[in-house]
Amino acid sequence: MKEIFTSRWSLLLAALGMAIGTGNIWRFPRVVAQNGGAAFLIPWFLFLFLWSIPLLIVEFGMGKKTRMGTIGAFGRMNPRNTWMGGFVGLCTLAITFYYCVVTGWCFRYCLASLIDMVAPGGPLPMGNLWCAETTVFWTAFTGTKWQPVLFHLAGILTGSWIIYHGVVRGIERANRLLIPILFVLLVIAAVRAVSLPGAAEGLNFLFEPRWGELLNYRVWLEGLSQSAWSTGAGWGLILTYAVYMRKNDDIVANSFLAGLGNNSASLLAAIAIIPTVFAVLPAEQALSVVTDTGPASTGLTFIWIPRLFEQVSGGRYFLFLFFLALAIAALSSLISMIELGTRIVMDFGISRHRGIVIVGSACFLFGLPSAISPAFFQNQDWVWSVGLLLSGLFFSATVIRYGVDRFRRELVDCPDSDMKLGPLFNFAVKFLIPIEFLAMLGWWFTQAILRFDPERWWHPFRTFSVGTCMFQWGILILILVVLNRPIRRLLFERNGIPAGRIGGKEHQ
Amino acid sequence: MTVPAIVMMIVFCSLVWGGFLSFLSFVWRIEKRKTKDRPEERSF
Repeated sequence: MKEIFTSRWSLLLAALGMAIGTGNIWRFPRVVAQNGGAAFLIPWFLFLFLWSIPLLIVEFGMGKKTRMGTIGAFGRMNPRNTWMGGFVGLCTLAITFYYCVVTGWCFRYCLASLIDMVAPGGPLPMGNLWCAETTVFWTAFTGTKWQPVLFHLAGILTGSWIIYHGVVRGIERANRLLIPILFVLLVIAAVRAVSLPGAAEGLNFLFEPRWGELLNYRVWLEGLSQSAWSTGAGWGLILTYAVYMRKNDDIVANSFLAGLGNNSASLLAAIAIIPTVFAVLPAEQALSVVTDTGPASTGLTFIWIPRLFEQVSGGRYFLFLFFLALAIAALSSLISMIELGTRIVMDFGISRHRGIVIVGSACFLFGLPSAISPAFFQNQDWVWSVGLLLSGLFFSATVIRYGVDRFRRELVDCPDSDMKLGPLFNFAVKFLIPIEFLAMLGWWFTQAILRFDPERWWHPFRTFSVGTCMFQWGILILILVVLNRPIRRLLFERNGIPAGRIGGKEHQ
Repeated sequence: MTVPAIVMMIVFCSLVWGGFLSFLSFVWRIEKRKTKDRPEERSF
């Protein structure tokens, strides 16, 4: 039976669930604070239109037209590019492996804050979250090894259980429930934060325009990186959801809604967090707290947030609501990631239920090293989050080869479209995205060479080296290029799908 | 709060949330119209 979203709203909620993840809540407020407040918001907002939305449109167009996961979609656009679809899919799957671990952390903290809320000082084996020693709690949690593994498994089982029920009864129902709740929680947290005495100082810090920062290229590159990672553009996730779009559904307005909805959630999270920090702590300490990365960039969220809420009246309840929002954001993104893997497996003729078992087992096994070793987690986060930029370039390259104008006319501007694309889209895909890719890749590699690992940046087995990126990407690309033809044969010829470029009468 | 911070807060909140809500109401109106034209295609 063909699976299709029952309504446009279901697709939009699923797209929002995909885009709004933990990065909106724990990365965005920190990056804003580190890069000049309101000055950072300008590039962050601009690059939504210059990188993220064009790529979301490309993904929607490819998924809707080809009705296949990343590998099949790239293969149908151009058989020689099948390996690029493989890279996009496997890059996102590599992120899924450690994102399950992150989801497990969020579940653990949500549970701990719930126990603290209903039974203050409750019987938690690792000690109480509701205490000044939040670092002790974090260290005890990650130090046991079995706990991160257990919650990693809980994350996978929850996500897989939802995907097991299919598109309508699983993905659609889950997002209809999760996304409205997430927005309500974020609004409650933001209203509570701005009503705290002293919150104005935090709002000042967040919105005070430090115009000089706009001359700093770092602010622009951070804005571009945040927009690229946060919206999920170029990950292949929207492409996967677009496979289940209704035939007459519009692409352009949906892409704008997904992008703007993601940015709305980020702004709400920043308004919820930064004023709380400034309301509770003296200004100098507040500044160092909001820019603290901590272990695996979790310092602000897992170390400081519990300490801060401790000093706010009714803080126990708000701490639980905060971690509930974080767990929901993580889960809604994880669902889309597991579905990406399942869709790819299903394209090879395997049933959804078997596909879930394969993808779920792979997530558990390949996520284990990240659950156990923080260094491995950080290495994977570095390699594959920068790899996503390459994924974005592959989308752009495939559309350029297909013909950007042809893509726009045939795949996006359909007769039923609510909004038509202008020629600016051609310019964005042809020129802006490749230039932005080069700027971002150059920036992150320069950071690695000058700041992260200046002495051994070329080394393939260092956590944050350029060498480790080149090594892992190189192996993956080599395998995929060698297997390009057999994969095409398995995917298209065995299933009776005409391999080759889409378009023409057969696809009308 | 300082005046520039208030101005920037209004500008960004209007751009981001205003943009999101405008698109939401745009899609809402279109879907409502479509449902009216084609009652068999109910959305939500």
